Amino acid sequence: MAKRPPDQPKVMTANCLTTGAILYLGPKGAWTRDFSEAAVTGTAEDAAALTERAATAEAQGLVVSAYLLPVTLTDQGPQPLGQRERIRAAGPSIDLIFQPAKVR
Amino acid sequence: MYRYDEFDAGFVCQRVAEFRDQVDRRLSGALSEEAFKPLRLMNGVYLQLHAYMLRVAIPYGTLSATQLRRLAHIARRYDKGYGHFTTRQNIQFNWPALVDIPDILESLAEVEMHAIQTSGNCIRNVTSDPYAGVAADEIEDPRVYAEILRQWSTLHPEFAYLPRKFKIAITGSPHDRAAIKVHDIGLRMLRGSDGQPGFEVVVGGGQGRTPVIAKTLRAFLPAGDLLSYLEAILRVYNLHGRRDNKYKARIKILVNALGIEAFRDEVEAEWQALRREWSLDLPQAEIDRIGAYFRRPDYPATEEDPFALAAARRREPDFDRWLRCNSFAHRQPGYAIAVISLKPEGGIPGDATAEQMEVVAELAERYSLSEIRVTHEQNLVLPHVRRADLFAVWSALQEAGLATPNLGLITDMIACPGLDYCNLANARSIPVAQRIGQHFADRQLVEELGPITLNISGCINACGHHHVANIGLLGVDKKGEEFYQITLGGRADEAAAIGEILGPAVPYEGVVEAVDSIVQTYRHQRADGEVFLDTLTRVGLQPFKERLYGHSEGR
Repeated sequence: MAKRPPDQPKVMTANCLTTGAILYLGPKGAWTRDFSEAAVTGTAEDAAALTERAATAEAQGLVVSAYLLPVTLTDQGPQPLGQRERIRAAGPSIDLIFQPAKVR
Repeated sequence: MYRYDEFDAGFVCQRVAEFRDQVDRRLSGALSEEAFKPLRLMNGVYLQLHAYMLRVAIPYGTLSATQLRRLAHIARRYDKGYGHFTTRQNIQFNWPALVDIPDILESLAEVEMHAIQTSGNCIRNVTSDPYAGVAADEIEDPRVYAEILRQWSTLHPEFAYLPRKFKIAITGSPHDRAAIKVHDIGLRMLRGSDGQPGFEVVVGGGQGRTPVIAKTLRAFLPAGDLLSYLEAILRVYNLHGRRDNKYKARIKILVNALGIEAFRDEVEAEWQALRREWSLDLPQAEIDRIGAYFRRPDYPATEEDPFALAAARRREPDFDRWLRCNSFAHRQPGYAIAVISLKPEGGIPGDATAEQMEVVAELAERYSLSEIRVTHEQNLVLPHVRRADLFAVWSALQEAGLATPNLGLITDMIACPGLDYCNLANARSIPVAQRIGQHFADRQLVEELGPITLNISGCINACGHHHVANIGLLGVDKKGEEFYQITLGGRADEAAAIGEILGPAVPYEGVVEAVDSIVQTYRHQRADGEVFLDTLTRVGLQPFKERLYGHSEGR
């Protein structure tokens, strides 16, 4: 994989400790289920600030498994980079329950 | 079926209470994630790509109708209405909330189920022949010994922190339906010269990034020596297995590093020392006690009306095909083994909805002595169906979307959850299986192709058993894009073999075309009476390469 520039925009994500649901850290420090509401880092300092907030939330037992995910900025807003993160953000790429009528 | 005694019931309930306390302490902040993670893993709880995942053990793949109904209830109440049957005969729920898991485990304990040792570096669920106890070619029911091994290995204090996970499979038939040669230890039942049962013990098989076919450690081990001998193997592995590198920590690496002869010497020395220390011989009375749970049922007398069955087959060609593809010889005259495919064309391999689980549970109650099996190929089995009831069973399955006639055929694919669910995956498996299934929706053609196993793994950990498939697909990540490496010629039965790489990986969009190219080559090259592996063995990889990659790239 190509090395990403140090100022690659990023979004802080984690899972809700209680439910496991995927969460994103918003600009005001609240966690949201909505990727489009996530704070996007512009600088290394931004990233450090989000990392610190996430560490606090982990220590408080709000979230688990927090990390910064790289994003790309598009006209439609930030989009996760890489297939894994795209699927994680959007949910499984399949219908959860198969409906035979759809393929027949 | 085995039934919990007071000890089992108390032990499992105690374990639920212990985990409830651990979850409470985690949620209150008293336990850090670092401290909690190994505890949750010991209870089958993972954190996957989207959510927590709970893996529930189905010992040697045997379920009662009551248990399957409870799994349906859990799917509906605590998950999103479905479950995923795995290649280790277990079931996974993809969306449980951590806060609910103690209640789920309590609900499971009520029907004698649990999630203990479905994760972690311990001895995992012992898997077995899904036709155990009913197969026409069986020596004895291997589940008696599988249950003994389950009791021995559950929370065995010496083997709770092995270098890596440890998988045991056991078969009672000469035809291996349990893939024993790709397990850490495989046991194949034989009869000794005195007519008493024993086992060929094979060791060091496995898939993952270093696929290995197990080697014979002992040609014949009397059944009474089973625990002491396995204890010796585990001790040697526990002592000498590598702990510095998780990719080199499985027993197959140790066996390969020492060589099978030196490994055998180590085990033999340990076994003799252990037997001097104390007796782990299996008392016949204990074998008989466990054996009583698996005694052959008193089959209600049945009279088959061959004319009625033949008439139904003529009337309903779909039933006729299902009978040919999905029913198998039973040791009891007048009965059949009926396999329920969880691989509808375009469907998700191994998934069943809560409603489908309930249909199967009801059919088991009505037609199969309340028993169900889970296969490592991710299908379900009704093991005791009167041949006279087969049409009624098929009709009910048909209505529930469970009558796909494709056992052992190209659309009966094994697929891991892949990148749609799994944290480790590099590529998706499920939509690949769906597209292949849709492409091969012509059931007549699929049956004409004959037995072909096609397995898909989303990463090199090989949960989808791609190494031992006739056609294996392995998802790889190439610069952020999904590609699939193709292997041909693998098999998981008594003649187990690892597939050979055909050529460069193909992109996600090109997988169906590539599989179709392989199938067309087979059809073109196939001689009368051949199945896929016969043709491949006779003509080799070259014609497949040439058709798929063109003459220049294929060489």
